[in-house]
Amino acid sequence: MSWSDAGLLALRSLGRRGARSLLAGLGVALGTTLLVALLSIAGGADTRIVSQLSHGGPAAAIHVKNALPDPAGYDSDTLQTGAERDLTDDALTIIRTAPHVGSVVPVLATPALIVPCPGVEPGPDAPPACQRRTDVYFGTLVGADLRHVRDLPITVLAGRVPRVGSMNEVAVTQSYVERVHLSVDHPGQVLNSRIEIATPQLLPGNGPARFRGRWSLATVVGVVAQTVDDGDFLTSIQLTQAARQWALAGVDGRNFSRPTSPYSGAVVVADTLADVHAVRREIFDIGYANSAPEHLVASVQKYLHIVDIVLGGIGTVALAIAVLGVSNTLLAAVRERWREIGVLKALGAADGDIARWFLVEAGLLGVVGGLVGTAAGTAVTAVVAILVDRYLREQGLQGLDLGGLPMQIVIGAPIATVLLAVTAGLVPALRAARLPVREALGG
Amino acid sequence: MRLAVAALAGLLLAGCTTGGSAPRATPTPEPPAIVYAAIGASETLGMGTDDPTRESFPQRLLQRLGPAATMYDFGLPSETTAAALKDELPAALQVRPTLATVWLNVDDLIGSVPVSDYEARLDQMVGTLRRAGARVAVANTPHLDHLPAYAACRPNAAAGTKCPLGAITLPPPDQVEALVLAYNAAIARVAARQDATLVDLYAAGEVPDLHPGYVSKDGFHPSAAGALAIAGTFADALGLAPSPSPSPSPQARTG
Repeated sequence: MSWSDAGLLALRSLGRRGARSLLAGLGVALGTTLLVALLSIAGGADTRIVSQLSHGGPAAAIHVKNALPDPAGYDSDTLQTGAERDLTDDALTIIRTAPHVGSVVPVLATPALIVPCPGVEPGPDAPPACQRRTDVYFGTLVGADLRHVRDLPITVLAGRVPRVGSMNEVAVTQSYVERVHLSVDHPGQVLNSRIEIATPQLLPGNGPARFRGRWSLATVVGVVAQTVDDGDFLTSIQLTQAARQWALAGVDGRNFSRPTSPYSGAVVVADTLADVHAVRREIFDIGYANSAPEHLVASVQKYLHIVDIVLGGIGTVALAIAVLGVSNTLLAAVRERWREIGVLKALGAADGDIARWFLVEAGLLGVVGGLVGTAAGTAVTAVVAILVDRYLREQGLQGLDLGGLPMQIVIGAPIATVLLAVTAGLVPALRAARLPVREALGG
Repeated sequence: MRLAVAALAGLLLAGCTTGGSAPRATPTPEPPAIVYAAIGASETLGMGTDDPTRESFPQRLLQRLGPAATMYDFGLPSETTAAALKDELPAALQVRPTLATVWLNVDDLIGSVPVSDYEARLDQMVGTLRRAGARVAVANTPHLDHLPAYAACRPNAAAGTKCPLGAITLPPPDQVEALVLAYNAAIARVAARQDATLVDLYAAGEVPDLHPGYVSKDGFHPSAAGALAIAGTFADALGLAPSPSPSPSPQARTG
């Protein structure tokens, strides 16, 4: 009996017992689906997270402050600062030229008086962000060099980030959305509303503190989650520099000291995750406090590995159960086909021909189940990726692109399923092959 | 917390007359299209309005100018032209204004500054701003003799009323009106001489009678509605297009 004869015979046998074959194939497909989906999601999440961490994504960012380092902060993820120290362009150049530094993005945060919805009377006819009155308050503008926005820990939840160099655009955080009485579930409602920004300048004199204001209007163009620095507003660094220069043109007061540092901090991205510690050390040696989640990253990697093992184990067990189903189906088929086997053997079929017939049948179940399962697993992975990304963004966190299905899973899953199915078919095939002719013919 | 913010906001708005060195303002990295310097006295700070951060006339004008503008409010309470030449003008020049509003006359008038002195100082101020490249809108003096504060500062003021301008006694209405007209003539001459835009607040007539809501509770300063109307007069004089975004408050609509 040739392989093609065995194939035809197997197909005919599968067709004759359609319902059972379908159920056995479905079991294999479901097992494969689960394994493929779990491996893809776990592997995809690992790959993306580690990729972001190790190739300079926001989570790997090193936050540098305009302060001397506290020795206790050397081995800590959290920022521990000493006395203030000006962070200048020269200092940033030194950091930029240090080994393993990918990019350096300067940051300047500055306090400002915020007037939400200037010139708009609250009421139902006003834009959503202005329908209820919001009091004037002191907030913080976080200005960053937005040419390097990809290197910054910023997630856009609605709209966009301000244009590079813009003096009249801001992106707000969710706390501002809440402040203007809107739901963070619909951050887009705050877009296109206006705020007025006032920067104080202390006037000289011995009496009570006297200020003079620099006022400018800005349009809210985006809602972001950001950890560039503490503050409700993300702006171009040019905007905060202008505000800072205005404040610097005044004098120092008892409770109002003028910050002299050109930058309040910087976001430094190392070449790889493995370089983060060395870069942090270098920045410490240059003389600036800094922080990075390097211990957190290591812990995350450890836990991700455990999650991979657990998810892979669950998928493997599911596939093993499905393959045992194949074995069970074929064992039942052997019993049902005794007479058929006996006739074939009486006509001269060798034991190997009979075994080949059952092995091909098991292989066919594996091929169909493996292909269908891989396709279904791909679909499940895509849906889960969309749902996870959407959930993270709704929570104000950085979105996660699980990416496409890894090629090794796409190719490996059907092959592995076929091999497992054939392995599962070995016992029934051997039993069928060793069946004596007389016994098979009802002796 | 809210009180603290209000206090800081108040401090930000309520600078007062000061001498000393002028602030050093360095140019912005990317200057906005319009740099607006508001020079004046307490009205320029928004005194008399409920919320000077939103309702002073320079704020209303900034809202008309839109996000392309940055406004620097140099107004100081009780500021005369002599004081403003020292306290406000140097600082204003530092920001390189492209637009300036100058409303300084009532405190000179109350201080009995001779018209010739007033005209010379105003001319110096407007001329300096013009030579620095700024477009200048200079406001004249509105009618004062029907203001409740004026009546409260007259010798025959009703019992129990207190003069908000301090321990002074103001001259009779005809003399006040004559002074206002003389000041306004000087302002018109300065505006013509320096090619500045004259903002004719006097033309609004006896505002306390026509629009009582335009006068604040202190009987002297413009209310929020009054500041909005004044900003409108400035905007019209400057030929600014109506702004779609700011909507007037109910007080302004009824004022």
